[in-house]
Amino acid sequence: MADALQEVYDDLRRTARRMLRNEPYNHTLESCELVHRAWERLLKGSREEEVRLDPRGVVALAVTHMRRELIDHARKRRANKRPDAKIRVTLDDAVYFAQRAPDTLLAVDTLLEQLAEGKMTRIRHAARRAEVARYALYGGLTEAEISIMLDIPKSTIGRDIRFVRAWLMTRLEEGQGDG
Amino acid sequence: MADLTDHTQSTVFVDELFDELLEFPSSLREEMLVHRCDDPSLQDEVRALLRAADALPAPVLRDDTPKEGDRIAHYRLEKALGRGASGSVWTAFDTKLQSWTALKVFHGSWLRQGQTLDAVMREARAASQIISDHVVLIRNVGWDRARGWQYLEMLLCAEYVPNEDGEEHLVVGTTLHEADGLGFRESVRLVEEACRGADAAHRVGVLHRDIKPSNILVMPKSRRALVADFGLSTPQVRPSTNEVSGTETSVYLGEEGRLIVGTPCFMSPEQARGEPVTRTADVYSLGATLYAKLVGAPPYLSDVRERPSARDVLGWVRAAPPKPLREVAPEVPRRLASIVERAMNRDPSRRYPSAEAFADDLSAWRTHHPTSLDRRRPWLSVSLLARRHPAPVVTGAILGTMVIAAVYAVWMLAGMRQDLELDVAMLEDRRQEAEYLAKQSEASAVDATQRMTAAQALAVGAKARELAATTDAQAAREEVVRVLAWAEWETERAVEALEDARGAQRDLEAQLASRELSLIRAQSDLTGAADTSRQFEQQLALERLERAAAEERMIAAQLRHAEAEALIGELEERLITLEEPSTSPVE
Repeated sequence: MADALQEVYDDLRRTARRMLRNEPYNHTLESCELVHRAWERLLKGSREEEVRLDPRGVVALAVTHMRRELIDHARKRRANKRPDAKIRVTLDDAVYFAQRAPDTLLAVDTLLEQLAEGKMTRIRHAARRAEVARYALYGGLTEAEISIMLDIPKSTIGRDIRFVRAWLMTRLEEGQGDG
Repeated sequence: MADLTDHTQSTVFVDELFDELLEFPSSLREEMLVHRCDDPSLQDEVRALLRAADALPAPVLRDDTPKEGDRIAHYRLEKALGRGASGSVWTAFDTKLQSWTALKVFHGSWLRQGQTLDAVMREARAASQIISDHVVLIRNVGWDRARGWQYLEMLLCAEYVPNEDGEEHLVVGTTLHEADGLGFRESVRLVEEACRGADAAHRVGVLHRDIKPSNILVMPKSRRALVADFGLSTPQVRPSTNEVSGTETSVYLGEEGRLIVGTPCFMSPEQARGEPVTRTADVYSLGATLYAKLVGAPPYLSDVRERPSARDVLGWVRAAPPKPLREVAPEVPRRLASIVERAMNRDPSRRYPSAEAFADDLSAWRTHHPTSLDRRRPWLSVSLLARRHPAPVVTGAILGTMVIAAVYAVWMLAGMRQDLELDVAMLEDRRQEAEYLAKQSEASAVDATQRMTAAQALAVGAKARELAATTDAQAAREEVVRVLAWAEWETERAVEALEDARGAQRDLEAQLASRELSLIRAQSDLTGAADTSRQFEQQLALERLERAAAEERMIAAQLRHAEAEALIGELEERLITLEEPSTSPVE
């Protein structure tokens, strides 16, 4: 049991490191601190859920917690600026957003939530595309990894990410136009 | 019920339409979009998404250029072989197969959009269909996810060549552009092989569109010619609009001066105008390549002092043909010049219909067979036959023909004289070639002497270093050995050239002998042919004079060659003395 938990912990830390790797300077989030906090929530919260120890389920849970940490962080830093559509929507660098453009991250997160809720009737696979985007954004997972997580072909993942990037771009631009 | 089914089928979703349209070039998307859905608001949404997708930088492409030692997928970059507008070519080590290969890495700035990547894929697929010994074949295509580089793996144009110690070294081939002093015959052979490669491509529907000396590689040992860069430079050169593609072409040519003068010179007029091209455009470029090798400068640039802009050259190509080959280089044999002229005809329908036909004529010229342009000159065919088989049987047959000709008296003589004139023209071709070869060997002998001097200087330097430190001497020795190998290689080439010249000389002599025989027979048998005989004699005297002159030059070249060889001997002795003190302290 302890070994299994250690494995999950390492997994989580690896994911976190990947997220932070592109940001060597000016840390306000230390990778270990982030992992500790996410881990705390994991243990305190849904113990039953993770005890099942389905690796995919645990990674999914970890990504959810990562997201919570990053959004919390972004809220604290929020500068009350309009989201910046000019920032490249890369979907693999939420840490960058959380630190440099917290408002953009919050806007992106809200948009992804709308997409996940399936209210966009003109988008056929809205929920799936939003889920893929979340794994890429908050988990820093590659196309191949998401493909394993969700059991969807890699090429589909690539198309999903391409679509979500373009869609987020148009939505962020709209938001700017309104203001 | 039917209505309902129709409705569900025609329901168009924004995301699915977006996915579909992104697979097509942007020029086709608008038309397809309007065709696929008629709801204006939905159209607008998809349009906005497509615009956003195009504006987003492609995540997988990097603008920086690869460096030595970089890893791409399972390859390790070793040495840059060249850089072009679209990317750079490297020798690379395949860590899976543990072998050497060649990699072309595309610049991110060149492959901006997804559809361009697709275009490269399509072209690579087409090019990989080609089956030929004279084409640099595509082995693999892919991209390195971590570094974000798109690459193409190609056959490495290299061969193992033994060095002085008998060790095999991998030597990479050079481009035809870099090869100098080839001689007419060798240039013709290499371009002929390139034609075979281009023809193999044409057979599977692939056009090259950018054949030029720097796109033809020559193997170091077997001296085989291979056409490189198949269809890779095309996506941007291909005229995509009805306008004249002048701007596109100059964009493609890039900022580097060398490239700018390089390509338009070898472009057919129709390609320079941006008109659709066929395989005959490649035939033109092959002709222009041979023109460049025979003249020593690309078409249009033979007498230009300053480097003109691509736009200028494009203008010249569109307006008029380049200077006739023999006007720029009178030493080029006449029959060869007319072959090149046919390949470079401004009217595509009057060129060789295929690269194969061009290759066949080049091959015929090289092996003394009648070319397609010679077919209406029967006497020439007979004389070419005699040249191919100088055995007495054939000579006898020709003499027999002469006897019969004597019986048929004056009208026959008139016709014969015409044919003989042609024959004399042929002999002149040969003489020019022999002269050229003699000049070539002379030049390489001079070159060898120069290299010898350089090697001597190096040896002196090595000696000095050796006195300073024994370890340095080891390195110096290796350097001298390398330079010596070079010098020797040069000398070998000089010897080869001399051999060629000697062969040509022998041919000439045999010709002269047979001509003299026939002259004697004609004189004794035919008093009426006195005039003709006199002409023969004059011709012979001329030829003999020229032969004597050629011989003189030959002797001079041989002397130089001997001098060079003496120098090599001397240098080798020095090397031995150099080695003796250096090896003992090292061991």
